[in-house]
Amino acid sequence: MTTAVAIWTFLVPLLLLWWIFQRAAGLKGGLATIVAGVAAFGAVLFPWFGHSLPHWSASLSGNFSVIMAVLLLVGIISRAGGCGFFRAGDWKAAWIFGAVASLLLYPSALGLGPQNFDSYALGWPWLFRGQSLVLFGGAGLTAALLIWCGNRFGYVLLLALLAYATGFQESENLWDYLLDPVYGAVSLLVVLWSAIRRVSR
Amino acid sequence: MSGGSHALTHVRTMPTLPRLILAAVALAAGIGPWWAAHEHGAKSFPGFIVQSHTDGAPPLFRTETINAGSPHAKSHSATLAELPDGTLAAAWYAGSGEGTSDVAIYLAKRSAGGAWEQSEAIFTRQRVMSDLRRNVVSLGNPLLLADDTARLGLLFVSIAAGRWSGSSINLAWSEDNGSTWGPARKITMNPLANLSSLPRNPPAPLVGGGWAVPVYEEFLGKFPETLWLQPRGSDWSAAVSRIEGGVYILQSSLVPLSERRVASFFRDFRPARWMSASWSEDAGRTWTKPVTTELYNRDSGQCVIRLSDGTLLCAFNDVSPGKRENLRLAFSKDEGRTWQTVATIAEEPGSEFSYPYMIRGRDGAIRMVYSARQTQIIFAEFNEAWLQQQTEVAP
Repeated sequence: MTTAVAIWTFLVPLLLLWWIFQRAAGLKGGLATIVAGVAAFGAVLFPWFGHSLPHWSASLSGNFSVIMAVLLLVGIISRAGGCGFFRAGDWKAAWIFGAVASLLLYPSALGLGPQNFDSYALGWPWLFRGQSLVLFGGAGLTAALLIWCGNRFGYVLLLALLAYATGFQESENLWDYLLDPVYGAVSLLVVLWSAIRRVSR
Repeated sequence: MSGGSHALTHVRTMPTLPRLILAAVALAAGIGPWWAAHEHGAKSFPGFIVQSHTDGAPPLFRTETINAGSPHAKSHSATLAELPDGTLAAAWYAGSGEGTSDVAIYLAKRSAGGAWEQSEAIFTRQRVMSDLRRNVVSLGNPLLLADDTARLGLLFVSIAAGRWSGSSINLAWSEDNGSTWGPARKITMNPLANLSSLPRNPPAPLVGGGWAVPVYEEFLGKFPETLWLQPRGSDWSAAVSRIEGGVYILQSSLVPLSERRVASFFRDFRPARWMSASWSEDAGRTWTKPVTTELYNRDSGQCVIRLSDGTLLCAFNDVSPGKRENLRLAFSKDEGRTWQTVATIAEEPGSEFSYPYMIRGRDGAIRMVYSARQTQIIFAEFNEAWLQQQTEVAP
């Protein structure tokens, strides 16, 4: 594990716990955010079954998506009363992107769908040359269109693409910079909940 | 994080030109890595190197126990490679039991014409935990990668939690033919926490360097894949392609038939009990739908290699009262569609002979390792003349 991956696998669980503590306690404002952050820091360092949470999460997967990390950071800062970088439409774009990407990726990764097709393989730019352009070009085009339309999720997507170019993660697959099971599951739940509310109105 | 129901588009607060520049940067950030990978990276399905040499020697057959006197209750899943000077290297996992914390990866070598040396633990759980800086419960399934240099590669599994479904694949290199090893690193194989990936069966060398390694997933689905390992400067690129999805076949045996044509044979655990097979005409990019062959397979590991005249040779567990009481060899003259059993390597009621792993040496001889009762690692060496002799006496 490189130092960059070690830092990343520490940072993302910290942000996740920070956000959870902040939300669970119904806290708002700068001081409350600091308290939640200190509690999250303590929980991250606390040994659970012999190891810290980052150690466990890295053992099971070191590839947290850049998008999820940025969304957590934006969520924490917004609730702290800082700059409202994301507006409702930006969040909506984030959830739709996560839900659509999850549906495209995870069923296929589990061996479902077309039997010898794995959309995860398109995340390596050199293996399936032509097909992988759909993912790389599609992600770039989505980010470009969102930025052009003034949607700030486009900047987050751009950040994920630039992070992929640096190769700081353990994975060489673009999907792992865009999506992870936590972001995917939350996105699906939010989109599903929104759809149910819309239908039941 | 938050939610909302407003429209995607907002009032444009940023002037047009900066927005246009940022949109162009985003598009370039998407396509740039894709373009760069094609310019400087690994090759897409480059084709296979097909071995076709034969030794022309008189019939030869002999077996030897590699880990004689081993103190371990469990020794299993052996792999074999030939180094540039003809030395053979075998690796396997051993410990007090499958998935136990004392399991380590062992390596033994045999110089050309010599005897097997005492095995040494090259990767212990503690060493791998230190290399990966992660939790490791146990180790397993080693697979050696050898080419014409002094560099020797090792793929092996580390289990983060639970049993085999909690495993992921690691790669380590030795620059001195296996005497010392560099740090292991994890290979990302799937997006689902990168778990449940295992290697099995010999790698197929690729044109331009690198290997196609048979791997498989057993998380919710159970299916075979190919791990493509190719040199990229001083490092290696790794990517995975699917052979077939679903929940019924795994542990493929990859057999190059020509540079672009390749066959794959699978361990099959459907009730029908037949080994299944698939073929690719485009160097492993796409595969035919797997079909059952007429070779018995009761959910056990098999290994297939190509002989000098294009005949395929399969080592497999044939019908027996127990699950793996024999280890036999079968020929196929039609690229794996039909098979004829020609020889028995080992057979003993109540015993177990499993996980055969075959390679063809530069001298044309066939070398095999397999586990007996999952405690002994047996080395078998034979040649095409001996196989021909067996064919003549086979019923």
